[in-house]
Amino acid sequence: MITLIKSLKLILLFTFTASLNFSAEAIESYKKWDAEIVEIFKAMPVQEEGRLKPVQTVARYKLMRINNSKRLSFEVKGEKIKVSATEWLLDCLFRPEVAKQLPIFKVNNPDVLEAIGVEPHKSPRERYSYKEISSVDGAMGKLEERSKELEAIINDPDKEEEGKKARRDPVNAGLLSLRSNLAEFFYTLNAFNFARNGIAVDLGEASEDFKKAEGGRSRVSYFLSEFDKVIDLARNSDQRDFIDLISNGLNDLNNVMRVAGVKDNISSIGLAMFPPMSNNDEEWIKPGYLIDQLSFRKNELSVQDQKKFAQWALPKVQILERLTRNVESPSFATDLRALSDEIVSKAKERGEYKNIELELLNNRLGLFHWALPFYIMAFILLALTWLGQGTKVSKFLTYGVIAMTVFATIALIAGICFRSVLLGRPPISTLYETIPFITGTAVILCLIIEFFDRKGIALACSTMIGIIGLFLAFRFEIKEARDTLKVLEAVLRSNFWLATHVIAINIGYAAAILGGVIAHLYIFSSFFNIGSKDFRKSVTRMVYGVTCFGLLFALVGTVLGGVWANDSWGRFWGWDPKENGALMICIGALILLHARMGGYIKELGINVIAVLILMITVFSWWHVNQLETGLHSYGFTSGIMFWLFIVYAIESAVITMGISCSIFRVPERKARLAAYRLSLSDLFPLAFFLLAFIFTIVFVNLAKISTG
Amino acid sequence: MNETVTEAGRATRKKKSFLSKLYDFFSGYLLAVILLTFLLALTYFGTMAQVKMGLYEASEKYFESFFLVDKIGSVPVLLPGVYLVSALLFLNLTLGAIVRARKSWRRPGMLIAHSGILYILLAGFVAFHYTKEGNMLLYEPGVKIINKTDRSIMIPLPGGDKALQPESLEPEGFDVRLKALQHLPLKELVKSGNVKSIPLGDHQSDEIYSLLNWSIEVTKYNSDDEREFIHVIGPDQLSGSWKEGEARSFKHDDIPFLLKVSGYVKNIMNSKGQLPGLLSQKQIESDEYKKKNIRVVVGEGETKGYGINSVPTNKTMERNLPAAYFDIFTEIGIEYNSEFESNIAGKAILIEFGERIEKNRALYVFGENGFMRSHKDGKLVGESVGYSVDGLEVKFSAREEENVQAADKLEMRMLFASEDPKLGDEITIKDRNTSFAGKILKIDQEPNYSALLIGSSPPIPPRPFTFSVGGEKWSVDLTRHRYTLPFAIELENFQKEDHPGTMRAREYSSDVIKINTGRKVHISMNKPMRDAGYTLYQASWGPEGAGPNDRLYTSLAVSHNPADQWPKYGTYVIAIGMTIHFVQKLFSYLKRNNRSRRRKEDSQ
Repeated sequence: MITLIKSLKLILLFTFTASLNFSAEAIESYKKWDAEIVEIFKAMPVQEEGRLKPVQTVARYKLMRINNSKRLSFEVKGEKIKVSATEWLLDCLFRPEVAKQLPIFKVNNPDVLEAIGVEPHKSPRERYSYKEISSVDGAMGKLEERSKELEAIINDPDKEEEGKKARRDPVNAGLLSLRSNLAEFFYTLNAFNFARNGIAVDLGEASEDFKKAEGGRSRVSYFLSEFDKVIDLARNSDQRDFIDLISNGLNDLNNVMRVAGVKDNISSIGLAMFPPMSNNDEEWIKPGYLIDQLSFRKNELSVQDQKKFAQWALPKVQILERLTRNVESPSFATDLRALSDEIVSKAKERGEYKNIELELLNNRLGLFHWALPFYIMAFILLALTWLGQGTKVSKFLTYGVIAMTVFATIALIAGICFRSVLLGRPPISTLYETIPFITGTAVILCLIIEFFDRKGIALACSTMIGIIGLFLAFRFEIKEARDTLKVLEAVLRSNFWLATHVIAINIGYAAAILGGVIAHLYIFSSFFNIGSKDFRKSVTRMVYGVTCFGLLFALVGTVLGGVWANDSWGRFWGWDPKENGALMICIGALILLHARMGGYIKELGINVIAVLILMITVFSWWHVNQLETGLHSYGFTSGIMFWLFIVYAIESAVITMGISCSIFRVPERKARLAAYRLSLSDLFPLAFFLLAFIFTIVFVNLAKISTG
Repeated sequence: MNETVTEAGRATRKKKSFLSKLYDFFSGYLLAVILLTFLLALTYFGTMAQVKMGLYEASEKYFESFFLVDKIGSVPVLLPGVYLVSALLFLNLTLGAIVRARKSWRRPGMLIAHSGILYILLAGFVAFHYTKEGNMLLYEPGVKIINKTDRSIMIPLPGGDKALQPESLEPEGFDVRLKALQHLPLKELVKSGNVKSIPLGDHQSDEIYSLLNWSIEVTKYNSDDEREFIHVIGPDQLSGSWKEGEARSFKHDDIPFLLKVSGYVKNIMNSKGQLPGLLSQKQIESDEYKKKNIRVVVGEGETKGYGINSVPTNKTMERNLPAAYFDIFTEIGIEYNSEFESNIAGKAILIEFGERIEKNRALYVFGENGFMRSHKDGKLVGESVGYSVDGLEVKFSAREEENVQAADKLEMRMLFASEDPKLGDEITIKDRNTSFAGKILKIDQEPNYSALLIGSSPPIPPRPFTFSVGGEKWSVDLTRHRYTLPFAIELENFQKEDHPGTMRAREYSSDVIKINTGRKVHISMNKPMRDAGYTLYQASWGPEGAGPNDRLYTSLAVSHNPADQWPKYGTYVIAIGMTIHFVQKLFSYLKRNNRSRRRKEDSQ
């Protein structure tokens, strides 16, 4: 079973994350990190984006931003090597020369590379290494220059249209993305430079007072410990050379310090890996800050505090120096463990480590990743049952399908609960979190429906929704490449409203989507003339029931959203796009119910409108976030437009099919096959024409949008 | 669906009267479906329009209107606005779901749910028409107290006078704010101790300013340089589109000058906060702007030598900064000419300015500074000053009357109100029997003061343009429209907390005191303060990018909405109603399902 899951996962990864990549210029050798080192390192806590998390999480998303995948694989002399994100980060920090050769940069568009003079690989799937790009003469310079030009246009308030156009251009977007990835890599690579290389000043040469100096360079820890003396000497010296030397040294120190990350609250440079000295402080410390406080900002503290701080901070600089300078020695693991033990025990003392352990467990379990293969297997089994309907084997298989679906759903729910516990808040607060939640809700609804109406219809929908939902979640995670466990803005930090409004509205979304999905069955059945009248009646009943259920939650959720808004900024309703989207779902459902009550629509009408509601839900869930306007701006994402239009096109086609059914009702035949042929042959040309028409319109619009 | 069949059946059996047919339509499902479909389409159009127009304008066009014209493709289509659709829906709901619906104790769900929706629609109506909202800005308490002369307000002591109750909030244009004060025997009250005038620090405030509306404040100062009263030219008088070169003039009995506002532009600021719409003389004379003929202010004040040019409005309405030219005329002269007939008699004449002015007949009024001169054959034959004014009737002395009759040309000087006289405008003078008409030949008065004013928006302190008329100090300012609250608030403490190592706010909150009662409240995100019908919310803080040593201010959103909590109750009602209904439906479905299954099993 495990092998099956693994191989399935592999297929998935291959198809959807395109993570199997090979570099054209393979590196010559790669020595794997010791497993013990990796274990220690990945569990070390780091503060990032306002949250304390294990290094593993940081490494995964860092790599994902650059490489589009949580892991790395490449070939060395014909042998395939897989490297985890943690190992890759170890390489970056401690073996930068190796890291530079690893093929990690994904560039989809060969024009991007040509624009900076790098020769593109034959396969677009192949990654590029830092060395490969930086070794081309002038490539980095050209990239920098082009990016600066682009940014100037994009940020110019007077050239809004031009800026939009520039951003939409695929080559420009590729250039900017490559530049930002290279920058991120560069900063990660050089974060510990200060410890590894020291600074370019030999104090021993400068003055007899400094005996410990090493040929040409000084250790930062030594320079810092002697900082006052150095400055004093420089101040009172009349030797021009000495003063120059020291000022160059200070410049150098400033540079390595910046790359190691200082306390600026904005940039994501450096790793905030040391717990603060005072237990009252929440902000963890980046190595660059230690340098800053020991040198340039020294005078901000009293003499006594300076001493205290130096006692606390210098050993930290020294241990990093030991680590970076003895990577190959056996002491590396011991030193790393000592550092980790110190940090972890401090974190435990501060009561911050519990969640790290939980998050590591969550990372290891990868519950969402477990759920997906089970949904897929359930779907395959279900397809098998269709082959031999009514037989004992098929009945037996159906139990298997149910078991797998239930198992997958439990994994999904457990994953959602894990996240909820980790962040100490209700399950949904970001766009990403809506995906597993809506998927889970829709699947559970299906299982409930299946319990009452045991025809296998809802079961089929459940597996489909499970697969599509989880794929979406994975794709979205890769696209965003940001830690999905996020801290929240002040206005969202209300567990009451997150637990009521947000959950209600997402249950509403889930039901609306489910209703639409089930309605597809009716339309297909009607269009291709498959399935009995009874089947269609069942489907319609489900659609109706789910829509009623969805309306209850969508309506209450929408109004509760207004009540929340009224409590947070004094406005019940502000016609914000996200609010409007939710309102449109409610109106859609109300139209369905009232038109049905008034007798204006029958079975087919109910199903067609349900598909329309599905489209509205997709609009509300994803599209409005693309409009780049409004208050609910927590989920701006780009590049989703293309897929949205695909969905609209398909759903429009389905609606067209539905409508065409009502216009050209084919009398049902007893001999299904004959009728099948007849209905197809009758409807095909017309349906084809209509579909072609809709697709043309959609794609013309799409083309218009993509070309601006 | 059975209901429909029977309904339809009944309809064919009986012939219905027109009225009952109308009633059927207005209470029927058809109208409900049509209205809901319109609502769906309008919501969609309005949402998409926000991308180009911004929230405010799109809301105005789609959601607050009765009708609108929208282009579908390139064909203009007349659509009902959401306001109209909602009103009809309200009617449809009341008639269909409440009056007409079958009321059965066994099936109460839908009745309850629909009542809830009606309640929410009603709340929307009340909120739309009666909400007043604005922002209040309070600095952290500190040593810095704003200049006493700059701002001081009247605080009613507990149990004191009620003069400052919410009436002073009426957002009607001219002459609103402090009108209540103006009609109070102010000084007496101070003496009797009912009202205490205290200087306010910038950590205290009793006023809120609108984020969307702008007004002009005309202030008179007393001899101690304190504000005696303020006249407000409200948003109503500044709203609408200003055509190029349009000027609007304002005059009031209490104000001894005419204020002419011209070249009003809604925005001169770009999204970065720069002012590309404020042009120096050099820029104006450059080739880029030469053709536009932009006026350069020659008068006094900080903006001397500058001109304004409209910049595209920001989609976020709050971020727009208006500007306009202000001209102050303490005296206006008009030379008036007519083909004179000598048979005019009567003691009074009525001044009209042709059809265009018909509606505003009261606008032209002779005042203290006005006079009339009669000419014949180029010679001055009579002059009259200080005649009394009674509405539109201007009385002449007997001697002047003769002169008027004999004259072939009249020259008048007068103060006038909000219509701007232009060369060539026709003027008709009437007496009881006859009338005569002529054209304005000359407007010979230059403004006494001119200034260019840029909207002042908190936290930037206002910089009004000051001048003197008749030895008294006056000022005009273009500001965000301000309302006075019936109470004043003091900020005791403001806390801001970021997520560690980020600039992302985790929490911000303000501890405030209601000054006249001493009530202390902690206002934080999602936890507003409610008092005397007003709700104060933690909205934001500033200044942007403040360092650790900067003095911060808190920005509280204030709203006064009579329907504040209605939607909350409405939701509960809807939730209860729908739950009852759908649960009942589910159970009856399950019962039926079981029955049919049993039947199937039995038959097998």
